[in-house]
Amino acid sequence: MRLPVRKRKSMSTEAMAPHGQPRVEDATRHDTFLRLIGQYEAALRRLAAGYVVHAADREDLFQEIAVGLWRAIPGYRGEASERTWLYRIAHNIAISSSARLHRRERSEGPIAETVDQVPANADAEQEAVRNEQRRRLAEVIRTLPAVDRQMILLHLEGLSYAEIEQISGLSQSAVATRLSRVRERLKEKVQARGMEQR
Amino acid sequence: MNGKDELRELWCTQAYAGVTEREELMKLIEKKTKRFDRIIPVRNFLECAGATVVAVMYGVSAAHTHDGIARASFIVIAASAVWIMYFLLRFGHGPGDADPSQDLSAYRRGLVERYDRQIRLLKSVKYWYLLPPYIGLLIGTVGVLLDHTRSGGVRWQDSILPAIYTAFFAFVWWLNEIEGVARLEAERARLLSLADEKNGPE
Repeated sequence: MRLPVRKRKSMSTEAMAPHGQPRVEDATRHDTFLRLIGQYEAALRRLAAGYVVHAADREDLFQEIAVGLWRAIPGYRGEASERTWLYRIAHNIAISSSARLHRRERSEGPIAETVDQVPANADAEQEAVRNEQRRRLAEVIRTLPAVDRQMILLHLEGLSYAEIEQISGLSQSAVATRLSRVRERLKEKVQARGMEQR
Repeated sequence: MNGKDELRELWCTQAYAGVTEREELMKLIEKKTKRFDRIIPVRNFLECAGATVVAVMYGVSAAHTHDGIARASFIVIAASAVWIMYFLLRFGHGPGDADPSQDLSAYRRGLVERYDRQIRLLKSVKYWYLLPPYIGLLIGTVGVLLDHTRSGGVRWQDSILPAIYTAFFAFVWWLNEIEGVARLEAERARLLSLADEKNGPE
């Protein structure tokens, strides 16, 4: 599924829209936005966890990304796939917004990270280790420089090297080299934490 | 932990706080977008309304006074208000947003340029916003002092009003060029450090 590509439209499309009712373009934008949010909400919320710690900050960041997408939809021209376009916007907004959210975290002091819920039927001890590993993974990701962070988050969401190249502007070979290095570091850190828990 | 797939599985199975209702999200987006779109026009409108009041008030005063220095002072202040209005309408719309659909380095460049432009604007406030009306007020003060000199001598109370408006102008200058610029420079530095491509993980 792709975004509707923007086409030149006559002035009359806007002028003839009945007063108080959404224009055709607005209705399409509305539907497109809701579809994108429906499709990518979980990924965007995970992305927010890769940038900020506090649950309220994550929610703020998610909303800022949603606003960014809403504003960007009319400018989409189909030069990139919908997925790469969306992740580009989301990561760029996350990077610029997290500077401000980071200041708030510092001024409020250290905040306990949101604890994930344990599934009812899971083995409690094993799940606790998994939760700790998830928390540790997010924590290590947040310490990475923006480019590495962007790459690993995209990679964890299942994007290909070619897609990461389109989003980050780095060549596929550079992406592969950096990812391999970052992945090793993440594995070490997360595994070490898992071992400590046992 | 046996590789990237397990990392991915770990990452993708994290829970998060509840899903936002779609209609609630749409209302929120609409509210935030409207608020964002109105910030600069509202600020410019208020500044222009204030400047119009000042320009009319001092313009009328200039037309009615018979004192040459007072008239020059009123004309300079009224002209300053008109100039500030022109400057705000011509340059005060703010830089366009950096396009977030670009790649990271292009987006970062856009953001940094935006910060640089805002910083330049704040640093020039003393020239286009403060100096013209301040000169007008100084001319007026000189007129009052000359008048008092002719009619028996300058008193210490004559320094109160110039001290007050000088302190006010100095405060506005500090707010823009010191406080405002420092805040923007800190944000700019933070942005650059976040997007620093040279530093890899330890």
